[in-house]
Amino acid sequence: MTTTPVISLRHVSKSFGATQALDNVSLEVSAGQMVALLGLSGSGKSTLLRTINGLHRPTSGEIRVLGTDVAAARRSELRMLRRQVGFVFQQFELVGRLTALENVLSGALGRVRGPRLGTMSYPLALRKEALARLERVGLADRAFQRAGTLSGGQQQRVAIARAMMQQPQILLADEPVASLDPETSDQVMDLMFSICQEQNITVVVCLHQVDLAMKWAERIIGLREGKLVLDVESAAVDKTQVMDTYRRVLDEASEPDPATGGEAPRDAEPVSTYSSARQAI
Amino acid sequence: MTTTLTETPAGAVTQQRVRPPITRLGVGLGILAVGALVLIVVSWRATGFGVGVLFSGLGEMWTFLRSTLPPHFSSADYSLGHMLGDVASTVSMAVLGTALAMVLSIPLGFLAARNTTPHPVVRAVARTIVTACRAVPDIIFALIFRDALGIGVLPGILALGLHSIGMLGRLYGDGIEQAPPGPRQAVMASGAGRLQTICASTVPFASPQILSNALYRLDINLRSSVVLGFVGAGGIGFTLQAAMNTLQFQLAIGIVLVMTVLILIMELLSALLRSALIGNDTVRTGRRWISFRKQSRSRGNTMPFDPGRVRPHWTGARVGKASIPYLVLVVLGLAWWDAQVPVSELLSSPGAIAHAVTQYFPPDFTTAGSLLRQGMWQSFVTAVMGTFVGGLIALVISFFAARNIANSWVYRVVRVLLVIGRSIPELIVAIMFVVAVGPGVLAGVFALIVGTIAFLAKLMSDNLEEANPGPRGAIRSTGAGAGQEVVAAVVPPALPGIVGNLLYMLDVNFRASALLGIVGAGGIGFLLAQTVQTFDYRTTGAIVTTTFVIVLLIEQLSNWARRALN
Repeated sequence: MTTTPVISLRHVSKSFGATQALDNVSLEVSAGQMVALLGLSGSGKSTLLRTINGLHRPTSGEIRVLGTDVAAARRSELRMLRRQVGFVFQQFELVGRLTALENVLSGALGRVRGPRLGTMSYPLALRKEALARLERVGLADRAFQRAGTLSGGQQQRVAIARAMMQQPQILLADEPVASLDPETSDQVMDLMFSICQEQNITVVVCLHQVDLAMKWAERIIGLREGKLVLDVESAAVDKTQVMDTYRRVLDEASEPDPATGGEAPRDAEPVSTYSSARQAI
Repeated sequence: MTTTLTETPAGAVTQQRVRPPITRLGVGLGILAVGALVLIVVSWRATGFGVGVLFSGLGEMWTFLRSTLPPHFSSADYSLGHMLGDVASTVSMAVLGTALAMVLSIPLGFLAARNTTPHPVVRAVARTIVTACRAVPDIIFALIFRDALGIGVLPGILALGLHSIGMLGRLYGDGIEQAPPGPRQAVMASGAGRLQTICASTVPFASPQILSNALYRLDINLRSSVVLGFVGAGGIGFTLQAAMNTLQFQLAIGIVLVMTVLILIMELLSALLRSALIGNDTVRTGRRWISFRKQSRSRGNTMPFDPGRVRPHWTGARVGKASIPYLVLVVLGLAWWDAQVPVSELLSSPGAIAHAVTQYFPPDFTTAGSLLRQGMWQSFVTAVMGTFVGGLIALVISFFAARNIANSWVYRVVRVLLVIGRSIPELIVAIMFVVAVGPGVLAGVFALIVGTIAFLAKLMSDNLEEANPGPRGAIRSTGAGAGQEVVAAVVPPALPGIVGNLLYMLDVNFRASALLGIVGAGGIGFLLAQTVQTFDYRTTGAIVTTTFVIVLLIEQLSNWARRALN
């Protein structure tokens, strides 16, 4: 495996008005790695993901994704980048009125010129490919059913097929299973990770559940109030350790500290067994 | 980029079809589309539509416009005070008519909504009453009441009130049906009774829409009240017609200017009120006029906790909301005082009204004979052409009037232009075109095109604005371009609404084209005006009956198409 990082952030900060969403975050992800981002709501996980594919621009700091300087990229360059980065959303974000197949096809918009409306406006080769991608997520028989009429798990599988239609090198997923029941969650996660493994796609996924993170990701990153507070290799630690660390993060975030007037301590050091583990390899 | 499928098992798939299957619904919609196309071609030929005629008529239009300048706001026997009085009674007519419609439509709406009606039969009856009110043009109601009660504002109020039920009752019913079932079940689960459940879960959901749609209807009624004056329902329209008949064009244009400004003011006021009532994004009414950005902040968090206080705090917003009912009462009171509604006369005259209605029955289809058929056909093709050409132009404009698509300055300018365009009464536009291209259907087509653009562009851009931003973000993150993004994620969810509004417009335009004939713009209106003037009631009855049937047919068709698309 090459050591060239496909994603690299250096001292990245992002603020929305007075809200500091990302605070001096630095990290690198190498090709083919499966990374889980853990953190409470509002800890900056979603912002981090959206900064990686250029939906948000950082306020300061440097981001390079697949060789593109996201902070400085022109719009057309960002679009080229987004074509190589798939994104899976918590609420699936399918166009409910369109068929499953057309939703998958919309993942290929970056590959065709001009606006498209209707399945038949896409070339035959793309239609075949889209159907194959639906087949891969086990929904080829639902190709012409409206996306809005599918169940949550099915919709997320269609969304994964849509992301795969981009032939991405990186897949970003924002709480992809938070709206699904545990059993469906497992299926969707399994599907997502196995497809990405087959095709050597780098994955960065935001999660709430430590269990799922431990089960699927090889590396776990924790965020709190926009800061990086945890970066470990999941194989190097066991579940309870991560749970403990995560709980500690939880406790510190939720319990107001009287000394700082209700604000959680700002000097928490990142628990970084990951970098040492990497050096050991 | 290479398109290899090797990474996905594609063997089974290549056998499968990659074009959408042909469904009965698809075939039905296809037939409808082909039928629409044929209809458009036929109408095109029948109306002889072309832009060339318009250009050759520009000279005459200009001469006519010159003769109206400078506008006069009074004349020898008509003082400015007189005009203000007329304006006041026109506004009163619109206000009282809308209030009447609202009072009658609320119960009808609840009876007509699937989730609140006591029985399906009641629902069907309520829906039929509503549809019947819509199918009879307000001008016909005005004629009936004028015959029974004499010239004055009262026939206008009743006509607006009854005809508006057609729209309000329908929108109320539909709005109530959209109430989410979840909260209802939750309230019911707590052991509440039927009426309690409706009051606790459905009414709060529906009430902003009820008020907002009534305000929207008030806009429309203010426009209509001018036209109603033409048939003797009082107000400024009556004076306007007199000025036109005596060739006092300068006074006529003065009256039109005053009305246009008044309608503009009313529209801005009602837009403000509605945005105060419902905000921009909380309720889908689809009937916003101009949109005012309103920041919704969660209030109450900042209030100090006071265990003894069990009433809401008097925040600015609450003062505003609480004052609305009083404001409405004051406006209604003023309108009532101004209109001098003779209640006793109204109560003692059901016999006269019944008599006035029976005059139109049984309808006489034979006397007018081919004139009736010809007029109906002319009105129909006029409506089709006006809707088609106007709709096309409106569709293009709507992209510039949608906040989520257009540049914010373009959006504002286009929206303001559309508001101004809507403020000019349709009948006036028709007169202008009659002067430019001569009497006949073509003038009607042009008048309808102008009206259609102003109305539909607004409705269509609202449809576009309603698109959920989530899927858009998803499409953008695939690296799609701006145009691709809009077509892939904004247009599909807006499409049923756009088609629905187009069909709604056809319905509106047919009724409008049936009236345009009054000013010489061709169609059944010409015959209608004649039969009214010669007191040929039973032929008038035949015209109304036929209009009624055609409106019902168009509506059935549009209902079916809308359901099919959804």
